[in-house]
Amino acid sequence: MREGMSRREFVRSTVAASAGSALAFGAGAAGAGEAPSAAPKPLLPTGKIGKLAITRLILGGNLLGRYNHARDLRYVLRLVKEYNTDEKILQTLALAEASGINTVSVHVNPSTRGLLKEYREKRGGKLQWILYPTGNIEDWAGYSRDVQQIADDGAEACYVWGVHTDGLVAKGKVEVIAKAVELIKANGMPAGVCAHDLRVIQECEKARLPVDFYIKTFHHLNYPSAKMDFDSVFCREPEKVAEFMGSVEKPWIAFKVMAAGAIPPKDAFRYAFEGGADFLFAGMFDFDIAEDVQVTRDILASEPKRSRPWRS
Amino acid sequence: MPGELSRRDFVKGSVAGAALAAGAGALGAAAPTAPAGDALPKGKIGKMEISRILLGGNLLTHYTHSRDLRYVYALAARYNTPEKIIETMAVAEANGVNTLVIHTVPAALKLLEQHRKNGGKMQWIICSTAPIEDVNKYSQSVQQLVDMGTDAIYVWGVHADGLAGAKVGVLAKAVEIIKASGALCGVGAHQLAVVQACEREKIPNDFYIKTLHHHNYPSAKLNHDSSWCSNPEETIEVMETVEKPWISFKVMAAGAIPPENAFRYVFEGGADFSLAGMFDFEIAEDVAIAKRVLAGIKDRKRPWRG
Repeated sequence: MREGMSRREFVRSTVAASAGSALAFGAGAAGAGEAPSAAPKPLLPTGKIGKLAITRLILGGNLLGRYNHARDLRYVLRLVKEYNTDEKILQTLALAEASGINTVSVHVNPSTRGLLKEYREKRGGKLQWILYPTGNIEDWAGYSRDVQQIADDGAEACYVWGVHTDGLVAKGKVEVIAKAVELIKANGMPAGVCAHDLRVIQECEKARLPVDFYIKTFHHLNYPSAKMDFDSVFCREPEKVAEFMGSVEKPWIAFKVMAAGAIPPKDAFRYAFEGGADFLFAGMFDFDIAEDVQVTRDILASEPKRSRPWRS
Repeated sequence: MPGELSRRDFVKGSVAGAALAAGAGALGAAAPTAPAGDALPKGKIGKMEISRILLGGNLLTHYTHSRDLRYVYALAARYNTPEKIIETMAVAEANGVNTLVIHTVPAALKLLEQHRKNGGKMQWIICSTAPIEDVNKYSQSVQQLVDMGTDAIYVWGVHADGLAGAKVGVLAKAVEIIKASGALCGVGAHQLAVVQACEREKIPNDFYIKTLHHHNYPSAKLNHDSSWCSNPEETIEVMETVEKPWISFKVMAAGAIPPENAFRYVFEGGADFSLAGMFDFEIAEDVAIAKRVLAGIKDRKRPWRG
């Protein structure tokens, strides 16, 4: 943010810059949705995790970390990197905030950490951070340093990465998850556990771990590339997940709800909220945000039919 | 050029490859000659000298065939702004790609004209998407392409695929219209039957643009905007008997087959040229790969026909 620029001015100018890029030929035809107006939008409906008020739609981090699951289309990885420059990511954060999202979740590496800090410390951004380390969880000294750094940087919440927990439960090492949860809490942050494998949640519940929230993949399988099963399926038994999560009293953030781009947001978000999720992560490019936020507002306003009570 | 090959080695390799190819058939056109410096080799269609890799048009028109990942269309459109497309053509030209292939999307055609106005020398091979059974409209469209300076015109594969049977006369008429305009005339096809029909009926097109890719990639079986050549072995076999130049397309199955693998497959399989849809950041690498592949082609049954 330029010196002397108010936060409102920053958000307006950033949003305008992003909208300007929408004028490229064909962009409208690509169905990217309307460019948002420059005026900040009201906050989306929120729920609570601990003392934190969190919008039910959370900006997911893979696209900010420039990772995507593009099946066998390897060029898309490069295209995302070329498109999501550092400046574009900063614009995307501002656009999300201006559109009514108040929280972002991403893994921590030098690049994402630098961008989050730049956005908050130099550009006046107010997004809350739910972060996770990806260093070796069984290297306890290193992992502890990573968690401490996340806390020192000012993250509002922290969670144990799904890739870690899936492996630990498969090896019968749930006690390592317990220790990581304890470590996060000792650093003064609400502690989440993330999983692709439902057994992780089941084991945490069985062991009565003092987890503050869960992050679990959740999507149906009614999309073409589900059959292909090549970096294209992230929740193999959604009915079982919905059924088990019905019995879980802690807040649930669903992720990979669009199966990394194959399920349209309207379908994906309704499925996740009606299936019991309290919050959603959605990986969004700047040009996705306006539509995704509106879809969320519409679904929540329509009182989705859910058998699981809102747990947050 | 790959790090392990010196320029001298590269040129030698090209010459050796060319000599082998030349021996493959007396009817063949001149085999790829050792390029000046390390330029991308060229072939000929009529009087046009064409680089063996051509810039494909789908990424310029933002049509990505990205299976069920719809967001890739939007992403390509946001990335490939008009300025970026102009830049992409310049990058392609600077890397030795001297020809592009595209269909008649008005906004894209304006950019081609702008590039030329800016001094670009890229040659254009364009297909008309006007209704092919309406002779007046199709003729007008072809004339417009000629008037704007198109170097060669071909019958769109989407049109031709439906005309290989009882309506082959419509295809013949379209070729006649294009040739009457003075432009070189190609026939595009996803279906091998189109090429077979043209050959059987002795339709006087100057070249073919026919899909070719193998099926060794994960989304081939998906059958959801993911496969464009249902019978690659048969295509290779039939094209061996075809004496007109062959530009292959969809060689990377719209992004699933890596370029080295794709280029080797189509050039060894008999194609004379290959379209490659490329973003600006892919061009230098793809051209380097193509040069390496072309220099090493040894097992090609079909003579170079262009």
